Formats: sequence, structure tokens, C-alpha cells
Amino acid sequence: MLGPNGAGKSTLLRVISGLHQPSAGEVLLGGRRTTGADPVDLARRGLCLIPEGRGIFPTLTVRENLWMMTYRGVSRAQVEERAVARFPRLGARLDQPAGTMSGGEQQMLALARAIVSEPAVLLLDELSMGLAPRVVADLYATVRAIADEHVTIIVVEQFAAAVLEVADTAAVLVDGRFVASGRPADIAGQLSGAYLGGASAPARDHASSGDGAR
Amino acid sequence: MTIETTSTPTAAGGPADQGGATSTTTAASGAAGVSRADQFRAEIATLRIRDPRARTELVLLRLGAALLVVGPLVSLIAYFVSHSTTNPLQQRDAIVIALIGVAVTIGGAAVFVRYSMAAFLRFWLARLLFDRQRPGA
Ligand SMILES: Nc1ncnc2c1ncn2[C@@H]1O[C@H](COP(=O)(O)OP(=O)(O)OP(=O)(O)O)[C@@H](O)[C@H]1O
Ligand SMILES: [Mg+2]
Repeated sequence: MLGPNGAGKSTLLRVISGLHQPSAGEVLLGGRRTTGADPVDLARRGLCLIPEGRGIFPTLTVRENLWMMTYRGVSRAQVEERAVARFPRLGARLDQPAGTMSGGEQQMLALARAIVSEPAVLLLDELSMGLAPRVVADLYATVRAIADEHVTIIVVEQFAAAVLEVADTAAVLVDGRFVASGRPADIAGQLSGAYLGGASAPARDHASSGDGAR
Repeated sequence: MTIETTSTPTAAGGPADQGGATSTTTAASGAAGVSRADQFRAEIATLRIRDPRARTELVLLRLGAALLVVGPLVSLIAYFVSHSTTNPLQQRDAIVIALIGVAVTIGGAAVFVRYSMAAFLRFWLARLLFDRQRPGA
């Protein structure tokens, strides 16, 4: 899901995960209407949101951050084992305060935390924020690998190039409405048009700077 | 917006690569090879969705406050009933009614504190988390 700043991407993810009540419309998960469900209930059943700006606890160690995810009946040892199997770099940093790791490592931890709980639906909000393109590409390769294990993933991203490469479907959100959706290759072509054509004036300069980054 | 969790025949057919995952997920799902998506769908189906939750809390909060007022009133009425008669039987009834008033007051206070504190504690907890997040983030 792509879109200029303020398009409502994060808001939509918060609505899906039950943190906000939509004023209109409804959310369907696995064929069931879940609008208004308790976010805790949804999380317990396997809906996982990684919010904007690293949803980790910076003053806790990496290990303690991982332990937070034992609520689905997975033991602490299993949680650590799975996280390190996916991200070997975290293995050497288990006792380090999470906030002292590099941005990329912190996002690895956020992803690791999400996958050890075996989510069925994973919502990712701007994983790439403040990361180098190389790190972003690595992260999205991992995201693709998780998706290949039959986890439904919705990714919100400004870094369009990185995510369009691994996505199955893409959509552009402008001012709270989808202005385009389809195959990533098609969306990549229309992207600047969709951003500029449908966006309101203040969003315009953000959109063009985003294009510059691409 | 609809999120379709795709139930995949490959997952059901090849439990080998999922072995570690399925064995640990839950004892409740039982049969091996049940895909995560199917499990999710089943769990979502059992989800109880309360009607706007804040509303029931608000109603209970008001109920608690109302009982806090009604309880002492009942006791007060019982006092006047007892005061206006010399019949010991009627006075004993009044004592019972006064005790009911006290019980209602205590119950009301409990409900009121529970639902006013819940809102307050949740806010406090969120605030605490936020403050802890900031220095590192
Ligand atoms: N609870 C709220 N009440 C009123 N307005 C809100 C609320 N939450 C978000 N908004 C507004 O909705 C708009 C969309 O916000 P949102 O965070 O979803 O944008 P976004 O697409 O994620 O942008 P970005 O790319 O900058 O993260 C913003 O203008 C924001 O100020
Ligand atoms: Mg956002």
C-alpha cells in the first residue's frame, strides 16, 4: 500500500488491527466481519501490527523484547530459537538493550518479534524508515520469505521500489481513498500520476520528493 | 477492505516444511497439516465481538455512580421508617432495609471504582509505555 504522507495508510492499518473504530465501512478477516473487535483478541488470534517507527521496547534487551511474544503458548526458548534462526545477527545481541542497536537491527527485531508469534496476518508500517537501501532490500527479501510461508502481509511503504519488487498486489491510497490498485509492475508505471493526480496540494511536494528518492 | 487469507493446498500436502510450526502452535487444532490460515479462520470465527466497548463501560460506570447515591438514600429512608414507629417488628424491618442500603452502596462503589480506574489505569499504562519508548527512539 503506497501513498503520500497523510493519505491514511497508518490509519487504515490501525483500523484493521482494531485500534481505531472506522466511521464507515467494515473490516473482514478470514471472511468474518471484525469491525469493532478488541485489538487484544485479534492479536491473540494471530493478527500482528508492526507500527511506524519500530514497535520495540528500547530499554529492554533483545531477549526480553522477544519474550514479550510468548503469549501464544510458545516457550521463551522456542521464541529465541526461531528469532535467531531467521535473523542470525540478533543471536549475538540477545543481551543488548534493543534501543542501542542500529536501525536495521531494530527493524529485524521488530520483524523477528512478529514472526515468532506465528501470525496469520502481518501488518507492516514503513519498515524502511531511516534505513539504507541495501538494508531495506534485505528486509523485504525476508518479508517475501515470510509471505511464502502463507502469512498474509500488508505492507505500507514510501520506498516504493523496494516493496513493489516483492509484492503480489499493489494499491495507491490518496486522501483516504484507493486511486489505483493492481499488479506491482503496472502500479510502478502509474505511480507518479497517481500520487500527483489525486493528491491535494499539500501532499504534492511530499510526493515529488518521494519520486526523487526512487 | 477485505483481507483474504489464502488457504493453500501445498501447505496441507507438505507438512514436512511446516512440521516445526504446526506442532508448536496449539494443541487445540489437533490434526497435523491444518494450515495456519485455516486455523486463523476458525479462531476468528469464534471471536466474540462486543458492541462498542467504551459504551458498556460507560453504562457500568454510571450504574455504579447511581448505586452509590441510591444506597445511602435507602438507608436514610429506613432510618425515618424506624424513627416514626415504636413497633419493634417494623423497626427490625427497617434495620434490614438499612443494611441492604449499605450493601448496595458498597457494591456501587466497587463497580464505580472498577470502571473509573480501568479507564484511568489504561491511560496511565499507555503513558508509561510512551515515556519509556522515547529516550531510545
Ligand atoms: N485519530 C485521529 N483523528 C483525527 N485525524 C486523524 C487521526 N489519526 C490520524 N488522523 C489524520 O489522518 C490523516 C492520515 O494519517 P496517517 O497517519 O494514516 O497517514 P499516513 O498515510 O500513514 O502518512 P505517513 O506516510 O506520513 O505515515 C492525517 O492527516 C492525520 O492527521
Ligand atoms: Mg503512516
